[in-house]
Amino acid sequence: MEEQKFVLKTSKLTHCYSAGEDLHFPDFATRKGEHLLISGKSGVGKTTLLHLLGGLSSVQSGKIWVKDKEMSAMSKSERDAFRGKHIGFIFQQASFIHSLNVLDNVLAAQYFGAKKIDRAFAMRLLSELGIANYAAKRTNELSGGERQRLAIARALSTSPDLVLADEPTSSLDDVNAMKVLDLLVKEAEKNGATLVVVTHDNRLKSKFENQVAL
Amino acid sequence: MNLIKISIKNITSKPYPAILTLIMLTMGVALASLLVLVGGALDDGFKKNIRGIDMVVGAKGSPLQLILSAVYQIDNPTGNIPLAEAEQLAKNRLIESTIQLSYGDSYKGRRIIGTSHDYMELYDASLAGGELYQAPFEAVVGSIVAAESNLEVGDEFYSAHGADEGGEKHEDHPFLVKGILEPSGSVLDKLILTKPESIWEVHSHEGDTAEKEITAMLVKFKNKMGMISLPRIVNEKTSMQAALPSIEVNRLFELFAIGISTLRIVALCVLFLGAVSIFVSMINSLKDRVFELALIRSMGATRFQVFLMIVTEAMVLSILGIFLGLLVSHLGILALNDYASDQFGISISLFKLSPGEWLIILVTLALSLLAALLPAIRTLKIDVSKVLSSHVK
Repeated sequence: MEEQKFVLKTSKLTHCYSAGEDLHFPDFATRKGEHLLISGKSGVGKTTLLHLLGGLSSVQSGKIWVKDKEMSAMSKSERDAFRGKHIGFIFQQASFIHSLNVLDNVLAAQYFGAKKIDRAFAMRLLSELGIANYAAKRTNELSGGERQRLAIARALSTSPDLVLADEPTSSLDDVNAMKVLDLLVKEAEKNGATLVVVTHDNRLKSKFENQVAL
Repeated sequence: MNLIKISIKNITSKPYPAILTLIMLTMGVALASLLVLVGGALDDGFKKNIRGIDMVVGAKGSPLQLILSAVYQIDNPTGNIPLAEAEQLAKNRLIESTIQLSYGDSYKGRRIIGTSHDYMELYDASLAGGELYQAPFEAVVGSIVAAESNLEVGDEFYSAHGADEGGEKHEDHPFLVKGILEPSGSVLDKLILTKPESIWEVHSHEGDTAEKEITAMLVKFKNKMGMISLPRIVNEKTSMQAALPSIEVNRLFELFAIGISTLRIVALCVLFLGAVSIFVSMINSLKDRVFELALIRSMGATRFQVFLMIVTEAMVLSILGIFLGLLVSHLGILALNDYASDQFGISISLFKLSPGEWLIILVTLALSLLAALLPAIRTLKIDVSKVLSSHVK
C-alpha cells in the first residue's frame, strides 16, 4: 500500500456548506518529518480543512489517511479516540481548561487522549518551552507567547504522530512569532511528530519546504 | 488526572453557584434526616414504654387519656377504680400478671406512683444507689427526678396534691429516699415510686376510707385470646374501662402523621430546590463552557466522557451536600440529646445511619442525577468544529 509511507494523505477532499458553494481541496501528502505549510487567504476554508484533517468534522466526500488508517471511514467515536492518540491541535487563540493550572492542562490532554499520565514528560516539555516556572500557575496569568508555548506543550504531550496548527503565530508579534515557530518545529522534530500548519501569515513561508496553497 | 479531579476543580474554580447549590442540598438532607431521626426516636420512645403492657384498666373516660396517664404519665388520670374490682379482674384465667398503680400526688411536678416492685421490673430498671422501698413513705426516685431535684439516698421530701407543681402540700408525711434508679430511657426516669399504702395514707383524712382505690392497672395477657375478649368484658360488665395501648398509640400517631407528612413535604421541596439549583447553574454555565468542552473533545475526549464529566460534577456536589446534611442533623441531635432524652429518650449515634437516611441518600442522588441529565445531554450535541472555529473569528 502506497499510503502507508505517509503520515497524512488526502484524496479529492470536498466540503460543502449548507448554503454556500463547494470547497475543493487539492490533494496532498506528507511523510514523517516532512512538515507542511498550507497557506491561503482568509475565507478559503483553511480552518475547515484543518478540522477535517483532525477528524473534528465529518468528511463529506474524498478520503483522508492518517498513518495507515483511513480516517474518513471512521465513525465519530472512533475518530475521537484516534484523534486523542495520534493527533495534537494548536489553535490560533490558545485556550485551556480554566479551572486547571498549567501542568494539569498538559496532563489533561494525556488523560483525554487515553495516554499514560506522564508527569515527568509533561514537565520536560514545559521546561524545554521555557514555561516550567509557571507549572502551578493558572493559565490566564500567562502572556500570549507563553500561552502559545503551553499549547505546543499540550499538543506534544500525547506524543502524537501529527500536529495540526491553525494560525499558531498570527496573534503574536514578529519576535514572538518566530520564537514560537522555532520552538514548535524543534519540539515536533524532537518528539517525532509531523507538523501541518495552516496560515495566512507570510512570515512563516520561508520556514517550510513543503507548501500547499489553497 | 482523572474526571473526578477535573470535575472538582471545575466546581471549586467557580465556587459561588456551587455554594448556593450546596447550601440547599445540605439543608434538605439535614431536614429530612432530622425528621427521620426524631420520628424514629419518638416511635421508639412510645413503643418502649408499652412493652409488656397488653391492656390498661382504669376509670371510665377517654381510652387515649387512660393510656397517656397510666403508661406515659403525661395526662391526668380518668379517675379511680375500686381495688376490689381490679383484684377480682386480675384473677381472670386469661391474665398472666397485673401491676397496680396509684397516683395523683407529685413532688416538684414529678409524679409519685404507688406500686409494687414489678413496675420497675417491667422496664428492666436497676438501682444506681441505695435499695428498694419496703415500707410506706419510703421511695425510689427516677434518674431525671434525682438529678433535677438533687435528691440523694437518705433525703426527705414532702409530696403535693395533684400532678402539677404548686399543689396543696401534704406536710404531715415526709417521704424518705431509699434508692435511686439507673437511667432506663423509659417513663421510670421521670417518676418517684413508693408503696401504694403511702398514697392511701396521705389521703386517708380526706373522707371515709371504706373502700380502697387505685388509679389504674397494667395487664399482661396469657395469650392473644385475652386481647379479643377481655376488653369487652371489662367495658361491658364492670364499672371500669379497658384500653389497649397498641391501638391508642397508633391512634395518636395518626394525629402526628399530618404534621410529620407536612414536614416531609417541606424537606422534599428543599431537596428538590437543591436539584433545581444544580440544573440551573449547569445550564447557565454551559454557555460559557461550550468552548472548553469542545477543546476537551479536540484532545480526544469522547462525547460520553464530557457527558460523564457534567454528571460527575453534579454527583460531587450531591455527595458533599449529603455528607454535610447528615453531619448537621447528627450534630444537631447530639446537641439536642440532653433536652431530648428528658422528653422522649432520644439517643443517636453520630456515625450510624438509619434505613430512612439511606433512603434520603438515594433520593438525593437520584434527584441530582436527574437534574444533571439535561445539561449533560446537551453536551452530546456540541459541534466541535463549529464551536472551535467560531471562537477563532
